[in-house]
Amino acid sequence: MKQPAYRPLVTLVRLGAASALAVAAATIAPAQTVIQNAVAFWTFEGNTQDTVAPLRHLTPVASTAAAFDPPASVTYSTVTGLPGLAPGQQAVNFTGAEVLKTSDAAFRIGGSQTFWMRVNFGTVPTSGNVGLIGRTRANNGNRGIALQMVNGRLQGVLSETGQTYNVILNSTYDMLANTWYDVSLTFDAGTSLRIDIFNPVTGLLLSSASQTLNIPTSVSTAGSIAAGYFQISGINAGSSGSSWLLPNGTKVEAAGVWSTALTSEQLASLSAIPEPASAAAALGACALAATALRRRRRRV
Amino acid sequence: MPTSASSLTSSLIRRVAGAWALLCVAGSALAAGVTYHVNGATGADDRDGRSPATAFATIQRAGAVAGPGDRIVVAKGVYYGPVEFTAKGAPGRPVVLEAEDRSRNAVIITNANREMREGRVAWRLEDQALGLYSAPLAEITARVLYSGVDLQPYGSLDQLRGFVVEGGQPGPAHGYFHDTAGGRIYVRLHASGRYGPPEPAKHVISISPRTGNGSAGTGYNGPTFFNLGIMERQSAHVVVDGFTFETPGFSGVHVNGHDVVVRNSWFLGCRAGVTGRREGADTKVTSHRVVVEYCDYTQFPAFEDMMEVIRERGPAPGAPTYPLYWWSRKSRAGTAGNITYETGIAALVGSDWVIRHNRVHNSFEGLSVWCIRWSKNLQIHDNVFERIVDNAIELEDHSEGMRIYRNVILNTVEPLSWQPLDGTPWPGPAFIHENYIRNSEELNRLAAETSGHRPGWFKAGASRANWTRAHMKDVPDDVVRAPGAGVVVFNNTVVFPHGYFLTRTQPHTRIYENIHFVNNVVVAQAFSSREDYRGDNIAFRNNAWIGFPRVDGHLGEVFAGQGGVVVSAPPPGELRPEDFLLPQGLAAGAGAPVTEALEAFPEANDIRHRGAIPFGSTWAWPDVGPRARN
Repeated sequence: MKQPAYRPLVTLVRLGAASALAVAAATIAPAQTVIQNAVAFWTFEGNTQDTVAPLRHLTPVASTAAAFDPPASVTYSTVTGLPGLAPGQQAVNFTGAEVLKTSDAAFRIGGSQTFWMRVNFGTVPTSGNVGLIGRTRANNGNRGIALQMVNGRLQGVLSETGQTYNVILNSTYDMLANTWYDVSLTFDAGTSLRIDIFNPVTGLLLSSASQTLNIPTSVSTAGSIAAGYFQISGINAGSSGSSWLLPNGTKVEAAGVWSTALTSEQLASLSAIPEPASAAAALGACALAATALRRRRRRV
Repeated sequence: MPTSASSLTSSLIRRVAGAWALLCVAGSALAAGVTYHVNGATGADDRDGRSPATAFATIQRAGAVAGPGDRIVVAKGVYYGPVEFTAKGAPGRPVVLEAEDRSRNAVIITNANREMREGRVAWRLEDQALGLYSAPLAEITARVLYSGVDLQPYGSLDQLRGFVVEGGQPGPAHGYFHDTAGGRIYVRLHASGRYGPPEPAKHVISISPRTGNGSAGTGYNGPTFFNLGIMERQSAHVVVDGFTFETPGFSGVHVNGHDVVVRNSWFLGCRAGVTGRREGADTKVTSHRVVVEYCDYTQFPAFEDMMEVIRERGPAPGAPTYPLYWWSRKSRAGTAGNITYETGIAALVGSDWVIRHNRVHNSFEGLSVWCIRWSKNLQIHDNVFERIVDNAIELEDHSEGMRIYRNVILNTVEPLSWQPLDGTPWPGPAFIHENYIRNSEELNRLAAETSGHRPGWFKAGASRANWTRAHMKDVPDDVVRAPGAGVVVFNNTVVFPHGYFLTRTQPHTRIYENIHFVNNVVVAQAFSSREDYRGDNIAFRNNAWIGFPRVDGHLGEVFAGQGGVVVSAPPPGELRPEDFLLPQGLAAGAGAPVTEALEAFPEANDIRHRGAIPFGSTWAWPDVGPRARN
């Protein structure tokens, strides 16, 4: 199990002087354990560095890049309007001319895996492709797994052999511009491929699409995909030279990759709104009082 | 953004996770399935079935005791059906019912008349000159095989004597007639010896029960409908592997519920290979998530019979040439009203079926309208359809979301059909891409010259019959619009010399809408049978047309469409179909975006080539048919 190298502003801090029991309740919140088990989790706090050790940073490169050249310079902006965020947290900005890329071998996952992203699209093209997160390339033998957007709706693709997509899962939910979404693609080997869309403002599930038929037990890691072309946004995801770029004005607040299929509860926890401090404190106080009461009765 | 945990909690979770992992390992060891054995020759159902020495005698008994994760191995032999299989697996832990040997005829499940099949019925020679034999047969039959050879049904003894079917049309030189009133079956086997000796006593004769209920014969009418019935009404999670299915009433394997895989199996004398519970628009009553893969499906020699009729028994010079006179098997005569055509490797298809890596050959249809109507999200890929009398794949009626890709379709009179017959909803959307379709010059030329009907590789149109349906009275009949993204036919390579692109089955005044042809490479003689017909609203874009043979008024430029090319035909004898599967010449670097297909083909906007090679530089035949066990 990986150790978290990143220590963001945790619920503990926001609770301030709340009771110790309330702190304990906060530290075992599912979202925290979900994140610390990620292969990588990027929070884009002014950089594209991984937050979960061992660190697997992303490199911003231009849409014209071969491998990592030329690099790109990306900017960051402060995110507002999301109740789960502490003030000052940031998102990486996309201008329609860059991708975040890595060749780290850790992303050549052949079995169950999950891609997750908190995203706000600058525009939603009503036609054409937008790559969100994945590792795939349509040249023969190089198809892998990816979450993308086609004609304004999410699409998950998955190839076992690299030759053709075994599964093409189309969401029927129409994405909107300038709206925050938590989107994920979950591959449960041999069982299902699923797309989930949560609203991080309310914590509610907006849409879920899944396929359980014809699900392979592995994802191709063959061909040049084996070289690790994992990316956020997309170049060369179609044919060589294709640009399936996140549109100008898009913000990505966080993203993660897991080598397991996250459960519905785990995915929901990533979008859950933190419990209000007062409620948590009240719960903690109640628990403390109950414990003290039991001890007192035992002594009697 | 969610927050991370403390190291203290991490430590706790690691310990819990470790314990959980141990539990999982132990659990999986405990959950390892039992292997049961079935041996029809030496087994007995009062044994435990847990070793070859204590094998059960019947598949039914094994099905009664098997559970999730269990495996049932069936020894070589003939098992008389119908077999009602009641076992049920679980997600990720299917019950696997497998033949010990996947070879054809190694492990047979048959519904054939047992006495007849085992040669215990005496044949009487009725006419030595004709090679006409008879034997007693009381029950109605829909299909007769001799050593696996599928016999043409004839409607009367006189028809069998003369090898003619209804209307005086010629039939093939072997067949049967069942005198249902007299309780006798009459056969004439092929005198040439090409299918073995002409005496029935020297063959294994397999005679099926009657077919299903309803005008199409597709309605379940009791267990003789199938060889093997997977009876679970909900998700069965059963894998069927390696059997030979023979002469059922309708289908080899019938899936009463959902979630079944049928693989490495052979279908002989089966009107349908694998069926779902029923057809229909209501997904609550249809069967879902069935995979048919690496199977072999045939009504051999249906196509050889057709070619024999065309070559040897076509209309005499000057005689009226009736269209499609080789459709002798499309007669119900001789089968007591049972339909024996409208065939397919799958039928009564519900939602999310996959048909892949199969060899479908020498059948009347590959997947007929009565097989896949009302299907939803059916995927047909990496199959070979070869030597088929009518259509390889009929997309009608009411199908939705069908994908047909990377198939090879060879020597099939009219390979693809979009010909709704039952009104709205019209079939679609449908995506047809990366297929390689090829007919021989001889087939198309002979068909055209002897019948007056020149085949087209794409048959399309809604005839007036659609507007006879009650729900169609207020539907305009001037336009037929494919729903959703439409019918999108792109990046196929079609070598169809002496044939047309289109066989139109609707009046030329009725307009097609939302049908698209993009990036295809087509070798054909002409657009359609009418030199002034240009397909009206069909959208053509960036196709390559090679007229062969060269004729005036071919209208290849219409098919080529915007951005397309029309190429001079190669000289006769120099047509090399394989050249059109190479990423060079007119195919290279000439692909155009196919935005209409993005929901089915994610890279449709980045296609690089024309024809069946949109990305790579190689094209390979699909791997099809039953695979030997390693």
